[in-house]
Amino acid sequence: MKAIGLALASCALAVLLAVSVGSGGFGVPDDGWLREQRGLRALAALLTGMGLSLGGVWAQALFRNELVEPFLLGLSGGAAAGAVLSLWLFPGSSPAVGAALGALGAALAVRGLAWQSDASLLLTGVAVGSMTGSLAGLVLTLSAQAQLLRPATHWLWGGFVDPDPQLLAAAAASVLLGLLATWFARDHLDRLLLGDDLARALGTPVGALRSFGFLLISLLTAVCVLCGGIVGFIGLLAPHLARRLVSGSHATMPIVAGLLGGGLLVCSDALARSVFAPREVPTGLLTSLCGAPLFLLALRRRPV
Amino acid sequence: MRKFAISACLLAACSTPAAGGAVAGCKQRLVSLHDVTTEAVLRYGAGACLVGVSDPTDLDADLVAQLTATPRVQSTESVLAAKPTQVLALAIVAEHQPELFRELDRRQIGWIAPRLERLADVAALAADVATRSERQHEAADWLARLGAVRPAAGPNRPRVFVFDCCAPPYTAGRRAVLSDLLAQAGAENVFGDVDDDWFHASWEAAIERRPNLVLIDDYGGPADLAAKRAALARVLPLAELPVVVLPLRDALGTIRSADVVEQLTAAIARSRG
Repeated sequence: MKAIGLALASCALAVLLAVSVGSGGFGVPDDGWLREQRGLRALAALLTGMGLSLGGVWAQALFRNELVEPFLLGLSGGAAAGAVLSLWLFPGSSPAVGAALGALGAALAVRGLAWQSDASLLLTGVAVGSMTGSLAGLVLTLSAQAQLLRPATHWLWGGFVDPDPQLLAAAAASVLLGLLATWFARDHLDRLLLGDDLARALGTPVGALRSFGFLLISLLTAVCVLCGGIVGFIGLLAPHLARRLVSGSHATMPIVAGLLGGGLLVCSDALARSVFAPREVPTGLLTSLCGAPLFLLALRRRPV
Repeated sequence: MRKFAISACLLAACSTPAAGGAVAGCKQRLVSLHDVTTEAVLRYGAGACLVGVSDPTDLDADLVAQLTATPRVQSTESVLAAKPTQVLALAIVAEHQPELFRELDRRQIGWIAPRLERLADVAALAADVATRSERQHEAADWLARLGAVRPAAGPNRPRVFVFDCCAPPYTAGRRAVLSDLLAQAGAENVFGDVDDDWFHASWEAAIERRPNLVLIDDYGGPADLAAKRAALARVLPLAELPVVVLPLRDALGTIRSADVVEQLTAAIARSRG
């Protein structure tokens, strides 16, 4: 409970920072629209961070591998290809819907192509991600009208400009579903860490849990991509940080991971629109920039 | 004998291509790697001297029609294969393909790739293209018009936010020709103090700079303009501001920039009632 309180406090601090810092420095803006936007952006970043962290927790448990994150299953490449193709085919449209469809399409392709083992699923994910990512790069490189694809270049690194309240409601519902599913499956996830045979012997429906987990990771990632583009690293980092605060048990660790991941992304977004003002840089860049030293510190204190 | 034949083929493949033959009516074999230089060559009437051109992305249809028979070039190999005597480009091309310009130097092929930041740079480029394409006489009117542009004077210069695209908004800084075009048209770019050409600003920064006019860069096509207007409508503090639309090809600086300044001055005056 102490760890949850600590994570909750850091999350609250991050939100406070996000609503009180802007391109003009510290201070709450007079303009009501700007105040509202800061709040919506913080909420979008929080939900995306929580969603990706929960996806990371599930991915690491399903594959019993602490190096796995949701985007490793081919979802980021699929999202990138979907975003770029949608901008190419429908110039002027938002790349978000194409990206979410691309992520889901990649997930289905990975699942369809690899059902023999965890290793084949993971390797297929890497291959599909690489292939679809290259497809996105090819379109970006070959397109004669490069300016039409400019929205993609910023968006591919992630960000929370122009948050859509309806999307936020969908993201909140998905994160809630993720939290509830994790809570109810906590014992099964713990048993999965012991190996498939032992988990089966203890009554865990391994196959069904894997299929459900894969579906949940795909859903959470697609919704997060819709909200904030491709924000890498959070899904890997947050579960690791959480394991440093609480045990690896899935009773409290996923909640702590979600809060830490959400808080970190809220902080990154606040910095993305204020540190280089009047410029705004992609949030995903700062997430990796700020998150990697934290990750290395955590590893130094307690090696994996 | 077979070895000799293979060696001869390899030697021929590695050797420097011989200079290309002359094009009828032209002393130079021109390759143009940017729409801005291509437009200047075509408007000076030197289109027949083009032995290679990069794919036009935003040229008027009548100019594109003149390029149907001109080979498309882009890579170092394709440019060199066209055997140019002059290569015309902008700095952005040289930044993306430094190896091409090193090779042009090595082969002593003339080239230009200036950075356009102000109207004066556009005028200098227009004069340089005229000289290199040997069309000084045909270019005289264009150059005179560019040289005659004088900044519009007047109180209450409108503060303009340039919306090129995207979220966060892509906009013009001090080193974009558009900032100078706005200044010549009697307006002021709200991001004119930012030492950059084009960059992503935050909506928040745009609002805090209190613009009273928005200039939309039109990439062409109704969908693009509608999407940009819709994006602006969602940013409430900017939604009610008057809007001026400028085709992208006019925003980057061309030999028609004198006309663009005139059009911009008129459009700004109209938008302000």
